[in-house]
Amino acid sequence: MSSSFETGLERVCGRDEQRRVRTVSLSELKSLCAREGLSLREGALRCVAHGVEPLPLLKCLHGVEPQGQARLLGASVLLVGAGGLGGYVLELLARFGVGRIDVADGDVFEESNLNRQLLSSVGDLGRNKARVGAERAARIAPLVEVRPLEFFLDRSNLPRALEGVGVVVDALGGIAPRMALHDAALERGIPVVAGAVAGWTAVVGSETAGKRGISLMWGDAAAADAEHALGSLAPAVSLAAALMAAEVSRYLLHGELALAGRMLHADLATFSFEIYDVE
Amino acid sequence: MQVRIKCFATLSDHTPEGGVLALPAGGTVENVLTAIGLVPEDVKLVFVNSKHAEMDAPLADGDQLGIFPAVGGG
Repeated sequence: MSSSFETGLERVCGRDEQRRVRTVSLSELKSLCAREGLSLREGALRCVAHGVEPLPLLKCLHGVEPQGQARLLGASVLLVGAGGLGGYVLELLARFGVGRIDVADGDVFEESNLNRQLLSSVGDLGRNKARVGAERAARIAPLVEVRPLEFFLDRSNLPRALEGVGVVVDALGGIAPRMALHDAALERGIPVVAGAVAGWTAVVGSETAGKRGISLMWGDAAAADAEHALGSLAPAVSLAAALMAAEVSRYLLHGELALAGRMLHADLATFSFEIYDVE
Repeated sequence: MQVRIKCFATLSDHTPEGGVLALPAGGTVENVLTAIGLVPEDVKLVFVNSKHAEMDAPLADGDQLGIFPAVGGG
């Protein structure tokens, strides 16, 4: 591909001798994209295709090869929930260079979120969680596009939210809303990566249309949620979110889910970890 | 026969002493729950040797059970 973008890129790119790769800074990329009428994500994709690594993604390189980085930048994820799990998942996927993330949450931050929710802060109490998440993503990961959906998803608005999505992340809090999300995504052949916590307990699992699994946990909307008795603790929340982000990344990079039809359970009270077959 | 049992989250206090329970031959998952003071309504998922099992699943000597309540926090 040869165009004024690539010609301009050749002119401004540098070189990281240690990693033996050509690089472009964020400010140079911004200028190039502004001149060519491209979004930063489009520009980053053109850079990667041209063998030039945008500096914000330099340390992903080799852990993720350029073809993989292009797949991530071209991917679209629907993240449902921007609370405890969702805030960390958003942070990790955005920093990893997942190109488009729609983050849905109709809730606002309150003081009881401050013990664990990365996106919560005293200054943002009362503000919508998805909006705060999108604002943070724009500050920390300008190459990716995060769109806030400032409402709760249900059977009526899920079909639209799922359009063009490659993978869904169930980072919801509570039991009742989860099954509708899993059903709607799986009916459309879109896999779901899900997690939940209670106290020091974290569970994470994935489902595909052919391999249901962890949602067996949430089949009864009225079931007592262990979280109400044990609380929600930051180490378990952030661990679950990290596992979810790794599983999503694995799917986007390789088309594989390590936890399809399975449930990884971490008990941080005893430091025991186990994977169960739920199918 | 003996089975090994781990109860998690809100159910952890029901793990028997030493994690081991003696059970008559032919015992089922539901028999185990009764023996440790639980009813099926308290329990969301049971795994036997890391595979999901129903309440009427028969158990064998040395089986390992993992017992979970519904966990939904986010």
